[in-house]
Amino acid sequence: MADIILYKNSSDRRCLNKKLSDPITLDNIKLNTEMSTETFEFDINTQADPFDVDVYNYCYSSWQPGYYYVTFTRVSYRVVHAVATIDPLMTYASSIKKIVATIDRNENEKNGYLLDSQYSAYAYKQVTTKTFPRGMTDDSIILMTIG
Amino acid sequence: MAYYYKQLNAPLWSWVEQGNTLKATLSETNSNTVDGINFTASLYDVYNGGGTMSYTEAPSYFSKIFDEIQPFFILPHAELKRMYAAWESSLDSSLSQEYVDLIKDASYLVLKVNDSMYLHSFIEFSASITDSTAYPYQILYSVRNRWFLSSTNDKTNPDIILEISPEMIVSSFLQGTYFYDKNGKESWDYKFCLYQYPGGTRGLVIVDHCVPPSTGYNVRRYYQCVMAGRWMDIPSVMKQLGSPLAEFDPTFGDESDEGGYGGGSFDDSSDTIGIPTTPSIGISTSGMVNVYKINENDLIGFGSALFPDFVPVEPPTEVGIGETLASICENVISGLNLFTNSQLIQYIIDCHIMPISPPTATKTPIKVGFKVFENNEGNPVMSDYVTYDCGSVSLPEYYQNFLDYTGTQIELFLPFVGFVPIQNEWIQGGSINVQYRFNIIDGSFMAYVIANSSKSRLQDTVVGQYSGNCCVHIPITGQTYSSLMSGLVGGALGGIMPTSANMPTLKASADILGSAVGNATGFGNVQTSGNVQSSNGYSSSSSFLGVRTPYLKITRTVASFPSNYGHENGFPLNVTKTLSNVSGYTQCSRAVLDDITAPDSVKEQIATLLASGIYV
Repeated sequence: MADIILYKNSSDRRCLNKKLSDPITLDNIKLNTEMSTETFEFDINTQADPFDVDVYNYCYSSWQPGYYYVTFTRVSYRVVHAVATIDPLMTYASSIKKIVATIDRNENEKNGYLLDSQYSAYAYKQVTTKTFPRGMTDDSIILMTIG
Repeated sequence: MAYYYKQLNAPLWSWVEQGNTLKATLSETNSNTVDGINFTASLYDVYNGGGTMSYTEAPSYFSKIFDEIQPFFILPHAELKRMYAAWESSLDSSLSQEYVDLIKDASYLVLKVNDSMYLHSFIEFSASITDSTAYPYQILYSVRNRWFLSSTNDKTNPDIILEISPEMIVSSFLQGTYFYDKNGKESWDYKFCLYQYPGGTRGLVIVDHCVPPSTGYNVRRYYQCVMAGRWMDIPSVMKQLGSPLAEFDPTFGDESDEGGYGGGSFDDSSDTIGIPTTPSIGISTSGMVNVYKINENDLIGFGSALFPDFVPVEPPTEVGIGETLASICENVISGLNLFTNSQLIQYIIDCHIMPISPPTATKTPIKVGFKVFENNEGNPVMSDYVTYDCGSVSLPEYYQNFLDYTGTQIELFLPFVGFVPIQNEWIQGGSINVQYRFNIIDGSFMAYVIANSSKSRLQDTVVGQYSGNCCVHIPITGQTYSSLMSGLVGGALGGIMPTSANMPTLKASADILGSAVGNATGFGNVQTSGNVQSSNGYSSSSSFLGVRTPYLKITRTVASFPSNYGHENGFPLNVTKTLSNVSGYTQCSRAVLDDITAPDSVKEQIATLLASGIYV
């Protein structure tokens, strides 16, 4: 048996910390399969817990503390089957933040002089000219003799 | 200046022995007073929010840092924008629009300081100017070819923006701030700002406020950096800086970087390789050869004197023998004169047109062989060699990022030579100067390309030299003309960069021309005259019809960076950091997940996500 908190997640899956809202706690949920760290399944009796499951896409499990993406399939009028798959980013967010790594790319900090292979360029190129201040236009005639 | 520099031989910091290393203790209390000037040296632990810290490093480490402090001060446009963004929230609404515009439009400022500049103190740059009200300072900006001085703390006064001339601040002092990554040279940009202490008078200013505010740090950016300031002698700065640069509005990228793993010598010094001195011996000063600069009228007069019309005197028919003999003598003398002049041709070496005017002495009669043409004068040329400076062109970085180097091709058009390639490192963010040195005698020249660039560390260094010939010969005899044509053909074949594709064509032309003029010397015998020296295959004669002013042709990639580019793709960074110290889109492909207690399959998921990009 496990306690499940369902959430509405509005964040991109790539976000380390998700924006969660409208939590609903489901007590004593019986897991259909033996719970693993990565995925588990459970059924919700919507008659016993009347709410619109379709607006929820995320959950927290107290059984093995972690955050999971959840998808629902209505099995019958009363029962909704849920499949939860781990969100490794949110679950291990605090550990991930402690990682010391070489940051290849970042949104707010950059080194503009490193090659960026992802930029796009126009098909044409800009051609400009800059002239030097002085040219050689003071012509003169040179005569050379021996004597 | 040398006086104050000498005074700084006094120690500004102390060393404490600690095992095998020395501990450098630098603090704001570690001051040194010289002639009433309080020199302060401090090293701050910015990461911990200020205060003095001690680094345990070998003395050579610090000395290396100070040795490597280059006398360049750069405040990029993007940095100004970032400063403005940092200030914007802390400034009240009375901030003048003029000031806002100044910050937004300011280009970068580059100052070169000569070696006599001395280290004054370490100073932190505050991201919040509201903290600095007790320390009124001003910042010098270069904006679109104009100078501005702003008092950044006096935000209630709308006239704080002053457009100034260099002369207005020649008696002032500015202090620069230098940021240097403690961890060697790993991805750190230089940020400089210039401060003027109002009323500061050299030798009287007591600098006792180089204390960083305790708040307002951007610890992420200034983590473990060594900051150093220098007093700068503004007249020297302005003199070396020259005119402020016209600047484009960069749209992406702003940071400079150095490479390396930290074990190298990082010897960035670069010697100046200037153009050589002119040879001391020349033909024009040999005493055997007369070299004249003449104008068109002089040439016409000389030609008439050299080749007078021969009109035979008709023998008189109704006079005596005396008149007849006189007539015959007159004809003989006239004929002898013509014969003499015809023999003088061999003493005329050359007559040609040069695109520059050599320095000359006052006019003297032209001497040819044994004869002096009293009525025909020319200006004797003083030296065989003439140096002509075409001036310099500055090229600020357009993008201020990698595209200025990998996406930009620069060609330099050199008159009488053609287009030659220019490496971006020679000029980007710097300037390039072109000087010609002509040999008046034979029309040959050497074009010097002299580079100045802070990125490449080039200082007034000749990075390219191209030879050629630019004179157009004036035929004095038929033989001169045939030599001219043979020289033209031979020169074309001996040009700097004839391609293999056009060789057969040139050879064919040479055969035709060689045959037509019947030149006994053959086209292989390249004459000094008419020699084609052009990388683009111009003859010296045709080059006279070409552009006579050097110019740069810059071909740039037109980059397309959507406004959301950074959020969706991130920008290249390549810096080792703790992920908690970064924000937004982040990508790291080689993260080590030792300290995460999770099944391997989950770790793999995390590694994959980090490599493909997450939002922190």
